[in-house]
Amino acid sequence: MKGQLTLEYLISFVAFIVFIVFIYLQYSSNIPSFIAEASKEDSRSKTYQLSEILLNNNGEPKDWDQSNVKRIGLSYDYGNSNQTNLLSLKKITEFNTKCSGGLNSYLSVQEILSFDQPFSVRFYEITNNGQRNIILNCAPPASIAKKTGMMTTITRITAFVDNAGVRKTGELVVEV
Amino acid sequence: MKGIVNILELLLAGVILMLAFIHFFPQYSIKNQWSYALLEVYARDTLKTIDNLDNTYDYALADGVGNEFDNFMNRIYSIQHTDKVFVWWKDIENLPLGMDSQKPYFTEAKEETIVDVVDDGGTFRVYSFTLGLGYPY
Repeated sequence: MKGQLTLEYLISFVAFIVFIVFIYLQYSSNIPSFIAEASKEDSRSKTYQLSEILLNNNGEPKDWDQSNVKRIGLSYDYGNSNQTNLLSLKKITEFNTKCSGGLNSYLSVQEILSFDQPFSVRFYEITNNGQRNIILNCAPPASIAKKTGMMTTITRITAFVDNAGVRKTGELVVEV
Repeated sequence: MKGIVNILELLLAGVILMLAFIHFFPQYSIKNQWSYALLEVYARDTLKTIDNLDNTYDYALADGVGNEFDNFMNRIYSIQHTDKVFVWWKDIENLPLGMDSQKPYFTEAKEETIVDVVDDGGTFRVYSFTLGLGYPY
């Protein structure tokens, strides 16, 4: 019988392999959650960046409209001062019009914002009794939105100047 | 008992391997500061909005149940619209008529401060308005 495996050796060998596989699976099970978290981190970063550029940038040119816009920013043009969290209703409605023409309009907005993934931007006026009146809704068409789900939402509280020059309260909701 | 040594060796090697793995590869957990960062953004945005609406001074003086400041915060952070529960407070410094609100219990919160100037009987007074915003649970 010299040179042949004993039964005990065989059991030990199999048990050892099972043990190694168990350890490998234990540690490799963390990998998908790490990848998902990294993806979420990227999404959070992009959401914040988009909300920040919409909230605190005039856009290019400063008094842009949908015919000449190079960069979309919703900030109210307050001369030379840099007043943050103050939006222009005119720009908000221009943005809404530019985005409301179906898939091509949405894609052109996505291109202007240099975004490589679907996003959604909404703006609500907050009334004196706390109700939200939607003014801007730039969401991806269902065909795009279904492919990649939105992962992160950020709500930015802000003031805005309406067409009569009155300051009101609103909230900007950005999803990526 | 022949061959039992192999099994004992396996168990010993297994225990050593397990201890080595635990030592060199500790259990990872994923943590992020997103909720805290969001609170910071909310608090800062709210304070800037109050200032942009020219309500800083009025809200600094607001006092009592159902005051202007609380009404404003209730409109912004109602459970109905945020799906979250928020608590808030204000802390006014260097303004004799300024009213602080009682700091509530919270589990996580963030404070932001804005400095404002007011004409106080011919002299300018610089005061600070601190807004605290947090989660109670």
